[in-house]
Amino acid sequence: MSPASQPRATVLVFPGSNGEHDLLGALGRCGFAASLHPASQPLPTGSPLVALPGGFSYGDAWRAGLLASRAPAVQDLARHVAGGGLLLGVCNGFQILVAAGLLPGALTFNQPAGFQHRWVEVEVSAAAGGSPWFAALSPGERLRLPIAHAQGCYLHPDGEAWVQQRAPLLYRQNPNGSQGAAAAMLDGSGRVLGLMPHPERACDALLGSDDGCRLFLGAWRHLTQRSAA
Amino acid sequence: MTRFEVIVRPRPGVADPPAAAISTALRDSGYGECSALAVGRYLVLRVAESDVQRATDRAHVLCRDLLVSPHLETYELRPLPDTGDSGAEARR
Repeated sequence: MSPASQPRATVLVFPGSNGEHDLLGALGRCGFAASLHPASQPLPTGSPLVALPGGFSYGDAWRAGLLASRAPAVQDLARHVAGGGLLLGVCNGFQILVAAGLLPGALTFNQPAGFQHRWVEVEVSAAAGGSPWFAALSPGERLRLPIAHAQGCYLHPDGEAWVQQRAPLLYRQNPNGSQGAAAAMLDGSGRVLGLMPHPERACDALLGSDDGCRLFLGAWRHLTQRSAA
Repeated sequence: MTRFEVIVRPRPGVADPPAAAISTALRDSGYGECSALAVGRYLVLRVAESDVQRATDRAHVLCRDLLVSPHLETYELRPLPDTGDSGAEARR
């Protein structure tokens, strides 16, 4: 793959992140020229994709995701999205995007309480239609992805019906009590995706699944077609 | 300097698994007549501003902007006398 066809991707790193290298590797495997960037610095320009990794930003002190939600790079993300950029938050990254108001709703303690870590199956819903992240997928398709979280219960004050209409990925067996079995959420533009399962840890069939690649390939396809237009 | 206590509580009606876990531990430890109704968070905050009203306004902005998840939690801000310490002294 020539460098010209490699869109740039920026992976933000917070104190306590631990999934940044998995994300870096997955993005590289799926055709991106990816690099790490400290969230304490303003967001660099010229990267059409920004991703927030899993982990325990600020040690999950106070509440997962909250303390990272006003970091300088995070404050630049609304401008990034308004300019057509893609934005991904995985696990703790999803918690940060919700706390920052870039995605609706809230994430709280699993119900029943406890850390859940295992492979799960999620199904693409009709809500994924039109989102660049799902350009390589169709509603009804299923993905095998790993989860590892204690605060992944998705809630929205408008209730389960609201969530089910907007969640692009639904757990086949709900592991955390999320409303509507939501495993992910999109913003209104479809360019901001947050999800609790880890697609970046499902990018090699030898390690259990390469289904996660399909999200990154959808983003790659969207960005390369856009730059060619 | 102006000091505050920030107390964050779960919103009524929001599930509170940590409280449920503590209640289970109380029951299992022979305190079945006791139960945890809510688990929240506590912070002693110092604002480098001597005008109490301005300090209070700033603390409220901080709470709403960074410290509280509005769908899940409420908070209470209580002024404290400024003793010049960190507020982290050990208490029995």
